[in-house]
Amino acid sequence: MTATVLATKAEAVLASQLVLRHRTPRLAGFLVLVVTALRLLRSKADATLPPDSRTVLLIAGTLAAVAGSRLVAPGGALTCAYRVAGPWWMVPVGRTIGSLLVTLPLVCVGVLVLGAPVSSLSGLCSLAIVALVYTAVTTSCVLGCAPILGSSAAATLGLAGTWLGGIPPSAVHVALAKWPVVQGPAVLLWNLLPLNWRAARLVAQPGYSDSLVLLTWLLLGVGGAAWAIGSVHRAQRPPVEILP
Amino acid sequence: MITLVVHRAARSFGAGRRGRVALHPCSFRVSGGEIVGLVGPNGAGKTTLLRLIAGDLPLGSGAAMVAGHHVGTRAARRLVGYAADPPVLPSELTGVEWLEYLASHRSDHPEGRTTLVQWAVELAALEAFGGRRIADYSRGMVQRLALAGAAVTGSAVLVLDEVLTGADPLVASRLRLHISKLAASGRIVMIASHDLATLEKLATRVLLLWQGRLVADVRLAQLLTERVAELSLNSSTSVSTERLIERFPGSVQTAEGVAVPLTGGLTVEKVLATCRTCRVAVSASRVRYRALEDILHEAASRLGGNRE
Repeated sequence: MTATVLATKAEAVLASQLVLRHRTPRLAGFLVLVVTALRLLRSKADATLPPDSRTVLLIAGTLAAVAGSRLVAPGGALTCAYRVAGPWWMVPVGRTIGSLLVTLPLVCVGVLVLGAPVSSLSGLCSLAIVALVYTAVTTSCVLGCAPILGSSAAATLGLAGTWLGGIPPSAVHVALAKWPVVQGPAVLLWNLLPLNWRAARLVAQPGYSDSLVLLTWLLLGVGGAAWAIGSVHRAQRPPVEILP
Repeated sequence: MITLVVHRAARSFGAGRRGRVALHPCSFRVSGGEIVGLVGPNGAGKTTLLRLIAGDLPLGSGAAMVAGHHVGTRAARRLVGYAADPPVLPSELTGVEWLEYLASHRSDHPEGRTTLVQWAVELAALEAFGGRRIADYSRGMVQRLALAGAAVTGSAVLVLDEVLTGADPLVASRLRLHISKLAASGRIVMIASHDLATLEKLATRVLLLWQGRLVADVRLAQLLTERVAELSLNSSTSVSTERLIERFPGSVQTAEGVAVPLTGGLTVEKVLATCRTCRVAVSASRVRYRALEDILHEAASRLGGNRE
């Protein structure tokens, strides 16, 4: 048990190093701070602004997508995962935790700066919890895609899910009304994926269904990453046994 | 004692017309303490064989076991350390951080991890640059770090692919010494290299691969019981060389003339007498022990016709 804990901690440390020492997550973090500062100035000028949960979720999703793409990026980060021998969940869970250790402080800054001036304590807590869950879900989903698609494609998917995913399914339904063949699958996909709109709805109207969908995707992301990493070692059982 | 057993292990890539057999079924057994060199031309299947043993690549057919565990399983991977060529390491980390990460997966206690890292740093002579980012390393430095990483993770078997290629001569001799010590501690060392002189100094046994087939399994000690007469010919015309090669089976052409294996009671005097009879002018002759290069040349003359 101690060995597994030490190994998982090593994965978390490696993940934070991979995120902090790559220029893209650093740049994303910087942009997030700039956006937060600008919003802070604006909300000071106009104290009647409602709590901006969508901006907080955009911050959370952007950071999670960019950071998550580095965790098992093909190359050194993925090779590390192949080399170590531990329980199947160790690499994805350890690296997700490591990534969250870097991204969550920035998300919390966003929550405090954008939510605190105009929101009640319970509203602020709700926003914080959803933002944390959404960050974890996006990180794990991008992590799960990165070994198969590559880090850039996985980050692009994560960013698309964050930025375009803010559009609610009803708007997608209306927008695709002229293409009925595409409309159904697109709306279904919009309802199934862990997109930004769902997290925003969860802030506005807390409910079990949205929480359940997000948590399912959290597990799917971790499982997907574990599956992709373990595929190298899932050799077919050798057809012959060797006598010692 | 740790044993590595490979039984009819094979691997091919692709399927149909575009398929390529990288490794035909090959079998061998290695015991703890042995240093086994893998030699062969480019594309012979050395790296494929090493990757199969390391569990980096699934077996196509056959089986391979490390200490009773099938390669690729978690139990086997805990025993095998692999230094790939070229090494793929996270460039964001420093060398010591990378080793700490690997040691955390091997050791049960933080103290054990620190000791393991210090040992690996000393083993691969990383003291001068261990604190620098891997992105700033030269090829030789990266290979030394890969060797250290393999030593940290491989408690029973070290699989080293061209790990001494980029090291400078002084460091290379130090690394050879440490690899020998690792083998002396009971580990199995599998090392692929094109540097035959290094393998002759380091290995106890050599496997020769040719077009994906294991064509020779030679114990280095055996080479010291065999001798070769190396003849420098005055006019190394192809006619005189071919005449000698025909006359002495197993002979191979060298840059200056012919190398004749002294087997079956053949002596250098008899070889020179034959040269005189055949009117082949010899400018110099020397007798030396049989070397890996001779085995490689013999394989090339025997199998070279099929070479792609």
